[in-house]
Amino acid sequence: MTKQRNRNRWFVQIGFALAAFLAFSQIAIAQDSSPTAAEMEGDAMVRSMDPSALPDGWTLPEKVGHVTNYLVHEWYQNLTKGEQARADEWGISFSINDANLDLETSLAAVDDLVSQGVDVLNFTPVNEEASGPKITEVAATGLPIICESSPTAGCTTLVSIDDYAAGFKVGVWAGNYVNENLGGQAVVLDVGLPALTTTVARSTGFWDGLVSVLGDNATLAQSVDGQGLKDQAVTVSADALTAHPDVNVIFGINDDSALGGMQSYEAAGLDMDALLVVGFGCEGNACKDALAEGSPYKVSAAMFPEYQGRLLIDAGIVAFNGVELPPHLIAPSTPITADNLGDFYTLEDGAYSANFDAIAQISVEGES
Amino acid sequence: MSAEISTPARSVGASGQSSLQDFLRRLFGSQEGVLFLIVAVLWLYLMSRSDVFFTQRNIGVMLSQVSMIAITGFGMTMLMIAREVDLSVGSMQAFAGVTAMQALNESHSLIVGLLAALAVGAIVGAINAGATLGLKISSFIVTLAMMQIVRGLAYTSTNAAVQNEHKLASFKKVFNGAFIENPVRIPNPVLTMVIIFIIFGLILSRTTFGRSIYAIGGNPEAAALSGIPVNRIKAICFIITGMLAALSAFMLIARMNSGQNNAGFGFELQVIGSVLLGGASLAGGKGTLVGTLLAAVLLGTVNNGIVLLGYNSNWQTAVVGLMILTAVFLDTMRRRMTGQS
Amino acid sequence: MATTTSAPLLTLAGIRKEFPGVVALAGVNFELLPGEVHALVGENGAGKSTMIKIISGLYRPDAGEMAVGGEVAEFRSPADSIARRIKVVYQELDLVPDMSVAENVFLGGYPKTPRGLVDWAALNSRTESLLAELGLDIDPGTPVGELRVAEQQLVEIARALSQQAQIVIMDEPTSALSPGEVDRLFAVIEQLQQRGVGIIYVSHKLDEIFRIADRVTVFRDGQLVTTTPIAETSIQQLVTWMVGRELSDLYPKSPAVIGEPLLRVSNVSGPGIYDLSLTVHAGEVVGIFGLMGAGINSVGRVIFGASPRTAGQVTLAGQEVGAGSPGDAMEKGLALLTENRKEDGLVLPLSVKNNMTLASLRKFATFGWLWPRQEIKESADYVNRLSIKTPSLRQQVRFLSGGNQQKVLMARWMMRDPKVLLLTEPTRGIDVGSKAEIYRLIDEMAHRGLGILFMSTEIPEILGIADRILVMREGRIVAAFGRNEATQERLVAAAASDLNDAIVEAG
Repeated sequence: MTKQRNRNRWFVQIGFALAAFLAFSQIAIAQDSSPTAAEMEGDAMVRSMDPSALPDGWTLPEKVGHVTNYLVHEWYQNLTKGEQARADEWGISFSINDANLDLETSLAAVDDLVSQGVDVLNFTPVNEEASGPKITEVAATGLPIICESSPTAGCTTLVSIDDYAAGFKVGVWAGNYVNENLGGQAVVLDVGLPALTTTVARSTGFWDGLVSVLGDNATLAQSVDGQGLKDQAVTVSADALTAHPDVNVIFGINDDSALGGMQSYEAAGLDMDALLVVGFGCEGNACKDALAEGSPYKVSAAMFPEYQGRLLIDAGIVAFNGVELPPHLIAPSTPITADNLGDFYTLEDGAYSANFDAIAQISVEGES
Repeated sequence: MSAEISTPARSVGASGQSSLQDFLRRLFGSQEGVLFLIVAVLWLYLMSRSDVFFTQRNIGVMLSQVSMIAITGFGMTMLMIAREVDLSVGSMQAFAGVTAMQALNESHSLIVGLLAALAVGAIVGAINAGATLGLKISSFIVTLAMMQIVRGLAYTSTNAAVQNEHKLASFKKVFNGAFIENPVRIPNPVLTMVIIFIIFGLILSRTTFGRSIYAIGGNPEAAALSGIPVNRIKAICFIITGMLAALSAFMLIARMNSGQNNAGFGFELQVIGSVLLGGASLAGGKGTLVGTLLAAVLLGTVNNGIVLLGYNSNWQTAVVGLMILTAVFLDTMRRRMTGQS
Repeated sequence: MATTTSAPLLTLAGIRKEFPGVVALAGVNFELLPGEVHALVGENGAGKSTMIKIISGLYRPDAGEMAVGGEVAEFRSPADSIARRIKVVYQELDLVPDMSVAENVFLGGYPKTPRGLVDWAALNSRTESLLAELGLDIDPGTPVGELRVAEQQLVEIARALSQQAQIVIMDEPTSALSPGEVDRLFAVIEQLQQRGVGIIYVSHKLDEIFRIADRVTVFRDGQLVTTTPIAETSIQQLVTWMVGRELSDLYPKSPAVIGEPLLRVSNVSGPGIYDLSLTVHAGEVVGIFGLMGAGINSVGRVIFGASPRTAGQVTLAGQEVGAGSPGDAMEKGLALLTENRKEDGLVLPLSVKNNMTLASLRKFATFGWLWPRQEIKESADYVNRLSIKTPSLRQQVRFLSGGNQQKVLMARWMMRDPKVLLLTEPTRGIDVGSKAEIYRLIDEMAHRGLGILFMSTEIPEILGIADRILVMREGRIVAAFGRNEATQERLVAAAASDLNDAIVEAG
């Protein structure tokens, strides 16, 4: 029946939507061999590109196109904003085709962009497994393909953060905060998303980071599945908090999960001063406002979508000129707090603009 | 039988059965009775397994959650009795929510925000009615399209979320507060649900409008030949469903403290699942608000229990499907027992 | 006709069947002789259909024995019954509409060529000869879906012949046939008799039974009342057995007191009817007789506004009735009982009470608020007045018998106190007791000054209750008779469309 089919499709879409919201890399790409020296050189080159000084003998791609999977999400809006801005600086024409979570549309969009003669293709898969053959086929024509979010067979390189390492860093930050402000005991509610390996890596990274500071003084009260959606997160954490009113740390695998958990905590009438909320991504205003307001939302593993957009464009230029790149180009992530928010973002007329120089300074050494 | 929740039992012929027998027969013979027993057993089980289950706070949290499904479900029940359905109520959680939040941010007035949500609900309901009844397309198709359109409107009207910029102190109270604190604290969403339940329960059982809804769903031709304005009544049901879904959306944004354009995914299934489990059928003509309420409470209890007992909360998704299957199963069993074909 | 000396084809001894709470058959003894037409009569729920289902293998009896051709038969499924050469021709024919006549006749047992393929030539020629034996001139290649119902029925019978059935059971075979088609069916039945086939014939139409049957068995409340040769009984006697009491008169007709003209229909056209004009006076019962498809089923719908009216005028007591608006027609004092109880009359999931009050809800409400006590009181009154058999007012109407359902619908319209009642085949498919009840109600209402317009395809009831009879053919009124000048022959002659029935009479 049509109804049944649609229902299934919704679930599938929701699942894929989450993959999109999270915009993360699986670190599953063969990591047995460390990047070669040539690849490391390419990596460094991408990070130091300067629109006012194109290396001698290089040519710029004329057209770059990005096939996104879910443009309505804030992450992609900010990411593509970053790409567009960078392309403008270089004088490259940049276009976006959105698949709106539909695999067919996504693959058709790849064909469209190729036939329009793009010189570099940026690609966010709707489903990485199913996109592999098409991307491999297109890559065989020599077109550089810069993937974002999830590794896909055939990609020249993948630009994304290291989930586990980013989680670990906020975990350490949270451990120190608990020691200084919450009496050294952490009872954690994990608003997670067990269906995806990337989000599981975030939760694991966070927990390992926390334990590295607190040891046995950290206890996990419960892990719940917020599906990465705020309404779901609010619901499941409300139930969990009645069972565990002693929770004092809420970790969410994205901003909505963390904020949803915080709403439930407040609704339960619990003491907001005794709570630490740890989020992930901080791509939108909700997170930045919450940090600035001094709410229990104290820290988030910032992912800087605008900066990732810039890396995507620059990686394309480098690949277009035949320079070898590592399979995974790590994007920077760092715990962002009320204290350092101003370093990375400037608030003007209610809008935050990213400070790329500061972001570029974040070390990615030892990650992935 | 289910059409008459309020008329007293009255036999024309002689009835030799004792009142207890009669009571038991009716308890097991109706979907509501069976649901009531299931809920009762489940509550007793959870009380024995968890110390926090039967606390004022947990029951309050659980019923507050139930209230959003139930309130929309009351409208959906009327619509499904009239042999129509509205799949756009999930997208409505997003669109009415972001619209109301924008209106709140502009006006700094709770009433204006609520009215904005209700207006969106009424308009979408009217469009559903117009397309279904005017163009004579099945409401399943119309509202399936509307589900996408309304979701699209929610996406285009904001990127991801409309944040609370009005900072009204009363806003969060819409969901978290309680107008009645003594002797038991009844959270506002639960109070709202009870009021709407009483109003629409009376409308369904004690008014010509309600009776007409049952007649239309049971046999639209017969209803029309009996002088009932079929299209007008169906249109009102569509609009009521839209407005009640919008009211749920308003409570949801108060709960989340933001208007999310990705809210309400799968909400329509929770609502329709509850209505079906409550005794309504896609073929129309039957269903009661009591049934829908009990089914929504059952859904809420199961979800709450899964988290309280520490099971994987992914089961919650499967529960909705299980509910629909149970609904069909119970219905079939009951028909078989009463010898209905 | 029947060769009474031969051994019975089918014997039932002490057959009993119970369902939860109901004894459907209480120890029935029955026999069917070769070449015999054995009619089964009884009110709905009397046990006829249970017995047929036992013979055809759909039900297994709880007690008793059945023998076919002298051998004990225990059927586990319909296939067992078919294997013993028993064929049931149901009201809803189970033919495959897209397949040809020949394919249907031999469905499941096609003649084969030596190489195992379907022998199409043999299939068609054998079908042709079977059809010829039945006096049918149909191309075996015609898809069954293109045939008329009557012809489809004969194809079913041809199929019975192809399966060499010894026992043929016919369930209400004439309910959808015109008089000419009935004649042809009866001719075929006589053919079957001559071949020694035994026929069990189930019908509500008692006059038919007297034309065709050799013996008749009467059921009432799961009991077999009697089996008797048809020559030794009468309609009156059968009815008394079926109902269990003396029905003094099936058609009570008190002398009409004709009053003012109430309903005037002038030059009205609509789907299936053309240029219809008639007048119904207070206290008058006007009957419209027509064959199936003559358009009588549209008359009520068009006047009432349930079907579009393309031309003409309808007035009730001098007030114009708007076209296409049942609401307005009701407002002015019209009521319509259609021929399809289940399709557009009853709301099956609702209770008896709620079905009754459906058209008069406003009467029981103030600003839309219903007062259940008044509703219950008035509904209970009607249940008593119309002797509707129901365990309670809350009973879902779907569980009532056809006759009682029809009475519920009568009550629905009587509750509105209409000035004129439009009745389209109000007794179709209901038992004789309820029929008598409905005729009595019609007479009573006419006596109280209502005007009644009564459309029917059954001549006896039209003759029995109408003061004036109009005959309709192909959507037009073609004749009118006073009560005293109307006879069965005159009505049939006026109603028969020349084409079909001329062919039958010639053949």
